[in-house]
Amino acid sequence: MKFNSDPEWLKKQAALEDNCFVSVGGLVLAVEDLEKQAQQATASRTAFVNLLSLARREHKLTWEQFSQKLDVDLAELIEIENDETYKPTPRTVTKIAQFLRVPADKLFILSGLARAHDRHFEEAALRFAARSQPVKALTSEEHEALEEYVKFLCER
Amino acid sequence: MADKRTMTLNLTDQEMNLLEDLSARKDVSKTALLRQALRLYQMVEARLSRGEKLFFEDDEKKKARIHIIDNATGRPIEAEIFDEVTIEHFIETQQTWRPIVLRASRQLAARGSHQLIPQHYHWDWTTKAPELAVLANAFYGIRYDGQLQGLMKLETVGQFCSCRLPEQAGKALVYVDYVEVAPWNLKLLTNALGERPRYNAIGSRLIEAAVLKSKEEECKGRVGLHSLPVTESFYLNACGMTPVGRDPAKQNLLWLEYTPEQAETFLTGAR
Repeated sequence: MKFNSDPEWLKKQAALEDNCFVSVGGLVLAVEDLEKQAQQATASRTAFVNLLSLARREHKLTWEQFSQKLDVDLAELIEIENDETYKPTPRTVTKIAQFLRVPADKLFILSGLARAHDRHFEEAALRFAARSQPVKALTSEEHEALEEYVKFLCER
Repeated sequence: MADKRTMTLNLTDQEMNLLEDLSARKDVSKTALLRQALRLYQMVEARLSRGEKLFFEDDEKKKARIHIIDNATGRPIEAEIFDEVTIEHFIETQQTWRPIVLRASRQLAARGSHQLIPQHYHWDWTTKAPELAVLANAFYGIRYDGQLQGLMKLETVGQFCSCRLPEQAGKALVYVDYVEVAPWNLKLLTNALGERPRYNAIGSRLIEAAVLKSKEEECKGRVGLHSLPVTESFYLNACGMTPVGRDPAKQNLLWLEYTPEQAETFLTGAR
């Protein structure tokens, strides 16, 4: 290969390229799929953490009491709440599902251990994630959101 | 004639097979081959002990010296373009490029500039390792200062390796499947991080390599690619490619092409 060795050509190209973004994503379809999956995983994950947090507060439990009630490691509960990349163990998710009285397979999807194939499920998770930002006291709206979402999980 | 002494060699099957294969290929006896190997080893040792370097010409052919622009001085600096891309190069992009792209993307998102966020930052090169072995693919990398500055994947055979411009419709072209420039060289990203881009003209050099590869493949410089919206101005204005149209089969991305004349114009800068 014989590359252009003219410094003037190089400078001209550099000037033309200067403000440009250079990339080609030939596999853009795969990329978009990955991005959608990542976004969906984030929404589900937020819904899972908020569900856990609201349920704990609904029962007026500290994290320590909550971990004892669930019979799961306190450190794992803290990891779930604080580290969005952390994947809980299936046992923990099952225990949480039993406590909340919701189907375990739904919580497996929410927690990121399994993938959803249901658009309504994804949308509901997104709505719940958006409505349930934890605050100190459980507001009536949060209470309503929690009730509604638990009902949704149980019905489907 | 020097006196000869006898020695028994204990070789594994693999070593003996190699010895037999080499002696057959060189058409010499196994003893003669070992003598040659010994002389070669002696010569290499003597030259290395004099501080000389050992290199293989073929390896040099796989690398070429090019110039890129150092933004700090505005002057050309010598870099290396190579086509022996390995999985390590992809891992390098994952480890050193991705965190910077992610950090810059978060900054852009925080400022509300969502449309500027690079759309391919989730592209995971490490899963593409099997493609390295496909002969119809060609890979190029640019290295300077011990760091990878840009990476490109070309396809010479495949569904997109055919021209769409009416005047050359159906003719073979080289398809640019992937190009990426290191994030520290992209003003959009460095600005988001409050830094200055380091080197320039990396993208132009990679597209130049694509055109040269097209010539090698007897495609006369014909090159095609799908451009993401944020990169269209580079291919239109900096490279002088022809926009052919949106491709519904590829998320309505803009398909651009070089004719042989346009490719030559780009190579020579005769615009």
